[in-house]
Amino acid sequence: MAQRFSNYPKFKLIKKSLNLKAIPYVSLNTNGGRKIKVELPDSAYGEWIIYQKNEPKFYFCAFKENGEVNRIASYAREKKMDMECFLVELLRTREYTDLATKFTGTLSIPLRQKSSMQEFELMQIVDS
Amino acid sequence: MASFGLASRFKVGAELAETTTNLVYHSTTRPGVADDILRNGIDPNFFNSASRFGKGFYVGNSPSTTIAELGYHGYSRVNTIRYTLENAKLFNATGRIRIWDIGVKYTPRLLGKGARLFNYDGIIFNSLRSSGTNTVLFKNFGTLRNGTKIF
Repeated sequence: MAQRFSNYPKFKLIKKSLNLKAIPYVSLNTNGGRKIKVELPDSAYGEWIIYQKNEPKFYFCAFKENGEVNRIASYAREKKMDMECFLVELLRTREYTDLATKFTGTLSIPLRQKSSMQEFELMQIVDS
Repeated sequence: MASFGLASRFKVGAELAETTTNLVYHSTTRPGVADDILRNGIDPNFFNSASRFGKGFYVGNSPSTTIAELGYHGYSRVNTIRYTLENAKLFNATGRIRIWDIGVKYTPRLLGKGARLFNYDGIIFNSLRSSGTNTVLFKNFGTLRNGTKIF
């Protein structure tokens, strides 16, 4: 297991401001409160938001500025690994927990009329 | 009981299923993405499970439809690829039964799961951002032919 992690491509986390469509959800579960789901376009290809404790925290884009596929995505592609699982596993190597690539809206009501573009400061996963 | 309800709904859908030959368009938001798709083919590993109907390749019936979809999310298109979509087994959610629009808007995941369950290649649905239609393909990407970058 440890050996598998050691083969993973090295990465770093950098701050990235992104304007994203934000949809507030009112949670009906015991924790209550408001949660924010962010949406990428349906046609997003090689791009993910990763949630920690159901809040948007990380961002990954498989493509570099010059349009080439980065080393992290190339590694997953080469090893035929599921990219979403791989990204979660990569972050776990830095001891981040409660991660998911989807917002969990169970027992929550979306307030779509109140959706808006909002700026989020996320941590982008990039090659190091 | 619940599964029976879903099955009966999709029996209606099955009657509406169609095989199409159409021009469809996929717009990308980053440099290099269109070239990567055309060079290496569509890679399902690059789909996002958080997309409306889950993992899939999303195309529109015109470039303006794809641009409207991106614009709603604050994105601009960088490139557009045109394909010919041939002989795909699509679940048609654009029919006269407008209930499918409600499904597209409020329960797209359920619709996506149902279409997969009944072995459709994808779903064709009305765009919520423009007057056009969109198609999501879950599999059988070989039905998308003659990919050409037009923008």
